[in-house]
Amino acid sequence: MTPKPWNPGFSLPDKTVFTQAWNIFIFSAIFAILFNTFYVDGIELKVKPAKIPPHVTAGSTPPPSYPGWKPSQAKTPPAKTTPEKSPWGNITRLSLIGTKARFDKKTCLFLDAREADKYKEGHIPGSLNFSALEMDKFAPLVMPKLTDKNQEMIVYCNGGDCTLSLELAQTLIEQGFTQVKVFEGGWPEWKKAAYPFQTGENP
Amino acid sequence: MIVPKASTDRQAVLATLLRLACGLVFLYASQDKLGEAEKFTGILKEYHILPPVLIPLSAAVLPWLEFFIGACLVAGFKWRGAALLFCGLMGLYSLALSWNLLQGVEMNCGCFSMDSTEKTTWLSVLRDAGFFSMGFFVLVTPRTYFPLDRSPRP
Repeated sequence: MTPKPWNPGFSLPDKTVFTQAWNIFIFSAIFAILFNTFYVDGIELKVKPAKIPPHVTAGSTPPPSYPGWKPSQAKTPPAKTTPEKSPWGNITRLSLIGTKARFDKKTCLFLDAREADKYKEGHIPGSLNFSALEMDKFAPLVMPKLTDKNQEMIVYCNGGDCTLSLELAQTLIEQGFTQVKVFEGGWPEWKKAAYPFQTGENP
Repeated sequence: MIVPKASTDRQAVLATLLRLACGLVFLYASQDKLGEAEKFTGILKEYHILPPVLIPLSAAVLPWLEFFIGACLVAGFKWRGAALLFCGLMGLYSLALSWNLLQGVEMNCGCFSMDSTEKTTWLSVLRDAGFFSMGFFVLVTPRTYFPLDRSPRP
């Protein structure tokens, strides 16, 4: 028996295929919206614009002695694994490569969210110490240096289960900073990669 | 082009198998996201691609879209239209993941689960590109076995 020849019967999608796709899309969208409306855990589909207080509008000059700083309240650290809702929200996380590329460009500001003694032992050159454990103490020292609300900032801490960088990033966003990112691997990953570092109190 | 009918058309057999595989992929991918729009909103935000105003709507619609595309592909109902949407979504996912990886952004993929341990790597992009190719083969093969609708049969 002779084998049947390969029959390349290809055809590009015609109008019928596009109509089918459109119908599936519309049906799914209507079904999903109705489901969301009547489902007990449905979400609000309409986004309400966030109200930004006047003292945190981009580019505004910080008032003296930082009255604009909202004192930090006791926060429960966000869960790291399988959270109910992603703790990262709209905070961008950077990899080691992404962080190093920004470090080389020297266009962004690094913030070290760890304790002062850890900072002294070693930190990314140029980074400012802004411990998330003592935000109210560090705010008057660091905030005068953060004059541009649109400055790209990279916050880091000890990587792994450390949530200090996330807490500091969330606080900075609440203060009106728009370009806050988190280097998730943090100091251990930077050190392991043998990238430049600085010791002591100076940035 | 006139395509002769053959009971053992290898291309149609392959396209049928790929159609079922693509359908199962989307059914599996959607099962963790259905009814979890709030969690999925957080993942879509991490993609930094959609404008904020579209995120809740997309979080509500995308899982069901994946589910119905998967169901149509498995059942063989409007399967070429479903394959077109499958390719469109896979193409979009691949581009979105690549863009974020090129920016050095770390994010949850949210591809098959919403577990925060499912990290995005270039393997995720390669996998999605592979799924895209499978869907494209189904899309451009106008014949399939066991279709539920009146599509041309092999």
